Amino acid sequence: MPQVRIVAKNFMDMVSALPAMKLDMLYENPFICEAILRSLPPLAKKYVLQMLYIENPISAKSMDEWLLADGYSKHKVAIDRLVQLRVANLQKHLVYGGVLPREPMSSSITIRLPSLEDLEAYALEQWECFLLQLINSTQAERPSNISSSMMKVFQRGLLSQRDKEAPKLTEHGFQFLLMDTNAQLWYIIREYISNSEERGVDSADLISFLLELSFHATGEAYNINTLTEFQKGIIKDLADLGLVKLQQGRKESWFIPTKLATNLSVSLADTSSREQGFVVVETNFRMYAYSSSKLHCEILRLFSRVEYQLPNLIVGAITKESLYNAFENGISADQIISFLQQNAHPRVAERIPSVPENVSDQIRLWESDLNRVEMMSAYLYDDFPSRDVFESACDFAREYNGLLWEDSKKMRMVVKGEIHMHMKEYLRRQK
Amino acid sequence: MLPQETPNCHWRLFSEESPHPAGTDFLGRTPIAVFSDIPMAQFIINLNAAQPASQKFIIHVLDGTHLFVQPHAAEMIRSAISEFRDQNSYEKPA
Repeated sequence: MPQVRIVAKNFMDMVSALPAMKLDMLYENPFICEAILRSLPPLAKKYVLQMLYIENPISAKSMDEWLLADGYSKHKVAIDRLVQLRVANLQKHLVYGGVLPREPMSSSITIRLPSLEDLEAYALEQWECFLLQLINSTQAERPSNISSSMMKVFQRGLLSQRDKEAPKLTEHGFQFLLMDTNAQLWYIIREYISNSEERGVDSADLISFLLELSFHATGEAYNINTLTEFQKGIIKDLADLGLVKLQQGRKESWFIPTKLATNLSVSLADTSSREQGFVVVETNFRMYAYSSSKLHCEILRLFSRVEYQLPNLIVGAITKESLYNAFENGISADQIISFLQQNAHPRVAERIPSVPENVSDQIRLWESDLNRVEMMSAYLYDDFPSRDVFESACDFAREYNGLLWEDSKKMRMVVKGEIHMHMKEYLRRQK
Repeated sequence: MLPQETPNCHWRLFSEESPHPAGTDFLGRTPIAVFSDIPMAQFIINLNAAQPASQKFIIHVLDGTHLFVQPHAAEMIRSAISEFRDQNSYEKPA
């Protein structure tokens, strides 16, 4: 099965992919500068801070002199990153720092702020509702407020629609469901941003607002009137996704960023914000998931046979049939195993490995059983006039990465179908 | 199996020209290289031997793990393998 993965890139990859002009505009915002500084690899951060207070431009050669011999590869990575992000413009804002354009609302106004747990529960609920609707599940309790055209944008690539049939999850869709929440959030935000141009919203403004949002304090209320019209429209969409909670008082309305929003500028590799796991997998292939979430049930159904659903527990078994089903849908064994490991219940999470070895080995064995035979279109060449022609033809095929098999004794070779035309041309020229 | 018996597969480069573009068969499919492990290769060879003479699909047995087959055989091989796999699975009688 081809290894197709959705890559959830984080903000910095998206930012560095912007055209140079837009990137320079982004640097006007001090928060972007800070967020970018935070995201740099450690050596690059050091370089930036060193360069901050130097007035004259620094040549690349003198930067090389800052280096010890064995640090070269890290140096290269850091420099590449800095060049990508056109960091030279960073200087002004970092030195002078920046202040959020809005302060949390003072507590003299009577507002009932939700507690942090309530806020998290709210965010989770919104996010799950959104996801359930995204995969078009009939389990969604109430329709989310996101417009159907936005939904279609998000569903692009995740669902496929054939005429007269209900939309079905694609391979990407399955992999998407098994990713962890941060990665899913990134994917959705990335689609949202790339779609923004089509809706007439400037992506640079959108990115700068989202990054600004990530610097707000979770759980504090901010007045909606401090937002521009453009930002107000975006806040509504973000509320549907669960990134902010909107509340209205008698005279004013405000928004409260949730953990999902403040996690936006955190890099994907940061595991500190991992939510609590809930799955216990036993050595007899039975699975117990301590969750009452419908979304979790749908996800578990992707690769296991769910047997009972109790108020706080989902009982299931990982069987050959259920796994074959998952493999046919494009999920790989590694994805299933890493999903189980990342969501392992705290009771088993400390055990190494958190998923029993016999279960993970068996999942991989079942996957390889489906892939015992590989077939690809190819051509067989033989009857070469001389060994030299044979050798040069082999080298030619190797360069195109198309040599599948060769037998030097009998001077025969098998070449990938895609490069057949090139081979024919090459051999005609040799004649 | 001699090349003259498979006029639709362009695999003799210096002697023959295929009537169809790029050596494909009349449906536009190209011959297929099959890579597998040794037991599965034997299984496919066996499958080929069980076919009547006009339907044999192996053009060449390259070595213990590589075969070269006719374009139309891909589906047949896949379904035979999946049937074999199902026969190997134990289903507890209800």
